[in-house]
Amino acid sequence: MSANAVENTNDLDTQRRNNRRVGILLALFASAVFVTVIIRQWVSGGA
Amino acid sequence: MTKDTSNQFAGLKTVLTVLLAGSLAIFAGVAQAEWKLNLQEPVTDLARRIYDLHTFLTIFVTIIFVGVFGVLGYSLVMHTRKRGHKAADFHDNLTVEILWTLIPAVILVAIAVPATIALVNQRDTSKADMTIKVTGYQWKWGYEYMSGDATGIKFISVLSTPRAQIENKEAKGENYLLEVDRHLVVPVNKKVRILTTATDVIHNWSVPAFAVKTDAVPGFVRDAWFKADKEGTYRGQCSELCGKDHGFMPIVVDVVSEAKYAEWVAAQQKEMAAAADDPNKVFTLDELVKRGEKVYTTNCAGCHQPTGKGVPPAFPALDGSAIVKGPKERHLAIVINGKPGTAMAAFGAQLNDADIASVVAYERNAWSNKLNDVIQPAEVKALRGK
Amino acid sequence: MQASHDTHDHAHGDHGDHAHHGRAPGLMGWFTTTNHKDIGTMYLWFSFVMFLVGGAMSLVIRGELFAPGLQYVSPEFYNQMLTLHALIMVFGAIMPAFVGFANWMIPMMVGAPDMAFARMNNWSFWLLPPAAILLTGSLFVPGGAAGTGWTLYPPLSVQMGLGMDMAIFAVHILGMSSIMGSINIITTILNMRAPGMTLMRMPMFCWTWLVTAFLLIASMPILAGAVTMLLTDRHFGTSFFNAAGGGDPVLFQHIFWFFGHPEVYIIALPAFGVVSHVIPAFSRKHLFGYTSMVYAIAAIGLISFFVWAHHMYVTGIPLTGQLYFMYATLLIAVPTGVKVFNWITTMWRGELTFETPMLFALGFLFLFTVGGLTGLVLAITAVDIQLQDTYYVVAHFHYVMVAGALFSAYAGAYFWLPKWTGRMYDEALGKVHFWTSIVFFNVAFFPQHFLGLAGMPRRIPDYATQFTDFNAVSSIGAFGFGFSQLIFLWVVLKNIKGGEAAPVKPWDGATGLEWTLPSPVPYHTFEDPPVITEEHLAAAH
Ligand SMILES: [Cu+2]
Ligand SMILES: [Cu+2]
Repeated sequence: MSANAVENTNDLDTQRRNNRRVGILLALFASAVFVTVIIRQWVSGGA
Repeated sequence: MTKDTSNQFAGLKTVLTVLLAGSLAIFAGVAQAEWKLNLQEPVTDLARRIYDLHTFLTIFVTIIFVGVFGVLGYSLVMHTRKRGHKAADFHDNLTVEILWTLIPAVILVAIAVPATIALVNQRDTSKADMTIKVTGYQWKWGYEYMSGDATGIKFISVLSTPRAQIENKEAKGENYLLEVDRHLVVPVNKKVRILTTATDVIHNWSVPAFAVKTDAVPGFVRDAWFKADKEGTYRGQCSELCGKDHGFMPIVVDVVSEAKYAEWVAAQQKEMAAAADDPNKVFTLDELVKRGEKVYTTNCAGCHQPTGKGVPPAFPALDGSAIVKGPKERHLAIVINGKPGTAMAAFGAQLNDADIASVVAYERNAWSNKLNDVIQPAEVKALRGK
Repeated sequence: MQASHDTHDHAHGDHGDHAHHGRAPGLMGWFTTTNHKDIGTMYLWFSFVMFLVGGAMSLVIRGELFAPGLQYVSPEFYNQMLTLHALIMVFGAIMPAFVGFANWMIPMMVGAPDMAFARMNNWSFWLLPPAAILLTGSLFVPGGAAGTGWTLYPPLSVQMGLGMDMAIFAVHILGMSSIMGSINIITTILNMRAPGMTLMRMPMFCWTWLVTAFLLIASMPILAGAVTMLLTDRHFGTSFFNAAGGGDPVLFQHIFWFFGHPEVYIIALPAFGVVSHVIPAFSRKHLFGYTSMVYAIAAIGLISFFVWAHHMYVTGIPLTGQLYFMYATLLIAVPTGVKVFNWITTMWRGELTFETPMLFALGFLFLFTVGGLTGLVLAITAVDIQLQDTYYVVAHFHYVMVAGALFSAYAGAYFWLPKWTGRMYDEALGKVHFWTSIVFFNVAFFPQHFLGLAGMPRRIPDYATQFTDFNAVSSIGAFGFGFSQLIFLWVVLKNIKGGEAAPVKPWDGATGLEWTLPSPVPYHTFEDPPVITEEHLAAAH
């Protein structure tokens, strides 16, 4: 993400759309980490 | 707001006075009381090497601290508004920034070298003269000699500080909380390999004078070693939180001369032979209860309490308990195999048949549980492994 | 801590659709508010209350340890106290405090009207009280709270009762709240900056939070995974951490510390950020080496994921593992040193004054450096074998955590309090708060280094008589330190009730966008993005 690309443009709709995109991406990442931790342990013999 | 800057150091002066008075009081105390400031006296080569490494590091970080804060201190005194100093606005200087990144990095490499040598030495458990298996239980240590003349000697080592001292009803003894009923005994100048494991939770076998500290992990075996070159008694404590009595499972090791060690081994073997129970002996109720009470006090009373009332719900009461008053096979099975997921250990591995029979008989006849049950060692033997 | 919300800034009255009337009246308003300043205030109050609760628990611990023998509590209860003290301080006090600062300051620093997801922001706060109730409430269920230490190591944690399940559930909730908060912060920083506020012109506090939020998003799910596996081991017959079923208890430690070490920097980085604002302000100078500090933060954040097993030197990890983790841990000392050198050079040849925020920033620097240097000693595996699980470690991490977090939080609170409430706080009281805190802190924790060296293990309710004297000194210090914190409560309450009106810029050296706003700050700010010029930039850029 370039430094100037997504600065506050004061266009509320664009802003909200951009925010939602970043937010969903981050939430997906967090969920992926959670699932990976458990699956990794599962396949390595635990459980 | 800068209205207070005129007496900005008034607070500091008071604090310094208090600190000075305080430290004087402390130094005066040092003369009398035992204010130990450093690591325990090492009695192995490795522990000595670590002692020196720690001394070196402490001096080194102190020098860094004094250097860095000397510069800061100068600034705090000289570059103040009170002194009329005007801010010189400078920032960013690549040379300085590269230097203060590289110089610490080089120093750290220099520290890493002796640190690596000591560590490699510490982990080298090969060519041991003897091996002892150490088992952590909640909350005592089990020792078993695995090699040499002493092979087969095994015993449990429990805190021997009286309850009354802990509860402040009696004056505390010299080795308060650092004393056990049976010491581990090893010969001087022999490389002793320690294998640690545990049955319930993680414990940690630690003796600072030997620079040994190794986790005892249930289901796994870890190792460590020491070669003590000075006779004496050395004390340590469990160093991994293992539940209620974590603070009450010390370690005591006697390092003795070769000759004394041989004597000790012979005495132990004789005692073991004498104590070996005749597997076919038939006990009377009285004999069982008397012996069982002793077993109960060292092994069970810590959780289930001398009164049998326990500390529910973690440690259930035995007085009036459904299991104790129910069929004796079930009662015996729990004592032998433990109860997974709770602090109830599998005593089958720690106690012999006669001990288990007598402690179960004791529990079934003590307090209000007057069942008049007699249990023979043969019954325990039959149940083992079921 | 915002005293008055009725000073609407009607200059920005041209956005018809959203509220200009501030918070809804009464208690309901606090439940429903989506205003970043309200939420920041609630975070700060919540964390202070939890700080007092966790502090009271530490006084139970220090009271029991004042003399050898068991005086006041049973060993079981002692273990519960030390567990809850740590969990509450880490998750209930320190982390929410800095999220509170982030909520208040980040939108104002980057010129945004609010956080990116205002309603989610409300949620991330209101998840905290239930978690706090679960944690403290677990003391009152049969069997009491978890008595495992905050590390929750199995198999001990598998033995625990209902209190353990409540703690696990609380950790899940707290993790969720942190992740939501982090998503909000990252999105706000990346998407909502005013025109001209480029990333490399951003104040240092925003940078530290940007890195911290990424650390949180990457590490909280790991902790959540670990405690979830603990839960299934406890109740659903899995054996992730049970040797008898093919699992490994030490595996939990690896996962826990893979979260736990980044957690240390999650706490420390925002503290670095606050200090990077306070020191330039009272030195009347630019932060020396902004760029290198940004790189240092990023480096610390990254390396923090590769040093976790330095907490596990005595668990029997292989020699190669011990060597690798020792080297990696030494490596992290380099960027940390860079930060300390930068702060000191910032003060060099400045025009220093010593108001309370500056005193706390200096206290931070002093204590944090002590803790950092003992950390260097502990990093050396062979030496750590002697010190692991002793009071030396307890001393070390209190120097790092209390200094790194608490002192810097106080520096920030005194620094921005005039902006929040529109009134000056009592400077004399603030100074008393600082001096009592730093003196008693050292009385409480410095002797613990000696206790650890002499071999006193941590997490024990009773000790051998040779440790008596230093323990007594440490307990006296702890009680003094604890009660000194009530002075802060007094300062804040006094400030809310009244006091000299604060000007727009109460500190003549303060720079940055937030100091262009009136004091107290209007309920809505920067609804029209400001145009960022050189003079709007913080000295901490
Ligand atoms: Cu223990
Ligand atoms: Cu760490």
